[in-house]
Amino acid sequence: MKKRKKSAIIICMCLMAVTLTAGRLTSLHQSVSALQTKNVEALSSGDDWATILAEWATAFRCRCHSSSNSCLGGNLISFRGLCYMGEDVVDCHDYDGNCED
Amino acid sequence: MLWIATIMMETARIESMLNSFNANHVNVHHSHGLSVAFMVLALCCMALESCYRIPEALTATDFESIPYKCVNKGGLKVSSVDTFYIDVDFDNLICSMNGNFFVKDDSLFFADRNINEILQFDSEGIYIGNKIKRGRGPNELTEIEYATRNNDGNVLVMDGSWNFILFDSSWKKQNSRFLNFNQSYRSVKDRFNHPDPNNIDMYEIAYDWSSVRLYDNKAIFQITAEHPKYNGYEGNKRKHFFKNSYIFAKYNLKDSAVEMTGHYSPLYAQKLIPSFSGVLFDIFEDKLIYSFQADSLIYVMDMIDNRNLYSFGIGGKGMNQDYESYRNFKEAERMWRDDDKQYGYYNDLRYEPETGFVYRIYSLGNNTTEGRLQVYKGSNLLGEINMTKNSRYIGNIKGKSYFALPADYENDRFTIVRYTFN
Repeated sequence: MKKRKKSAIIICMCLMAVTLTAGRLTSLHQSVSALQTKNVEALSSGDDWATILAEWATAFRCRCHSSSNSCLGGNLISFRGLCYMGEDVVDCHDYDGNCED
Repeated sequence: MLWIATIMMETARIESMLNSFNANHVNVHHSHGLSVAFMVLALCCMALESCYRIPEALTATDFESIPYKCVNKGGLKVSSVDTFYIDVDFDNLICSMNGNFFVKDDSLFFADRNINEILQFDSEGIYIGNKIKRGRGPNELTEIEYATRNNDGNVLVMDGSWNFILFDSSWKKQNSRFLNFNQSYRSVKDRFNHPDPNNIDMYEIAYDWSSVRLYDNKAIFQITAEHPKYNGYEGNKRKHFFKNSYIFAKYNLKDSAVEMTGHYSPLYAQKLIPSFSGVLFDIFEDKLIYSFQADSLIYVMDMIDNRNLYSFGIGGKGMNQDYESYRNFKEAERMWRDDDKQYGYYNDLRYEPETGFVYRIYSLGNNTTEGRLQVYKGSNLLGEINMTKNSRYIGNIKGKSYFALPADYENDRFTIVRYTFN
């Protein structure tokens, strides 16, 4: 009886750990998706370039390059791209995420 | 690692909750056993996480087997040289002076990065008018980063948002293509956790060294990656990055197919100098010649099968190449401007089809503006002449080779030098 109870608790906790981890991942993914969706909507409104911009917005984020003051396209999965997204997967104090800073 | 920490923290929290809740039912021995079990679970997860091995490039370059053929032949003769200026008065000519020159139909064109227009000058630098204006009309552009023309006179514009706009020889817009680097449509999490040098979703256009060429309906340009887990700046994968990441994308403007090719020369994995990892390249007959900011060798690649055929090139004289390797991206970014002054590097590599010359320009560094121009014929060095740091080749008009010195922002003017070499 004691053994069964112990096994049940272990299984239960394993499931909880997995669920919590999945929840954390889903939440991160959702926050990223939400930001992307927001960006797409903002860029698409009443614009002939809507299709291009929608595709553009899901692919990269504008950020400054060291050699230029212009805002140029960079990959979302990059030091500066992730900072621009407001994600904490890299230390955003270290990277100039966008040209507005 | 974040997830592992989360698991462990959540585990500890749940365990403590359960402990207090079941204080009367679960004894201390059980609690200790659970801790061990979950520590093991966490370690397993950790092991699984760290099990991901970044793949190697599917097409590697064996640089050691590339034959070197180059002779310092000498005999460069300068038949003529003269200089003229293009004054930007802001009344008749509005120009930011930030952009690149190119030659087409015996005229000089300046692709202005800030006002996003293409300006036309005659061969003496007299302003004629604007060929491409800013806007969203049929023959207008919203953004220009770099413009070039091919041997047929077609003009290709690369903007700062991954678009490539092709004009025919009479400046009529042919098509506009957007290169989406997220072609695999992997999830953000997957892309973050599993960098892969063979997957284009990791890369971006190397705008720090903006340049593009047009060959057989393909836009050819440098790509780079600043992936937090896979880059040339920091982490323990820097050597792997410089050995395996691709440096060129060939983007077919007809069918949108994209091909990655080329790798950094071995010098980069050895010295770890991402700040000087710009690639210089040009179309060389039906081949691609390319070189690196920090490497003296110039490589010749077959345009069809991407094989490296041979290398040539002789190192510049008096260059300060004691480059510093930084610990991280932040440090490298902070030091970029100082390094640009302190160290010498190659900044332009161009082939002139009219004469068969290959030009390469380099700077000496040591906080000077000194630089030199190397002139090659075939794969042999004919000679060098002094040329201001960061000058660039423009093109050939009526037998004369045009070079632009760095824009003189203080006096609002361009300095153009023309040479005739024999």
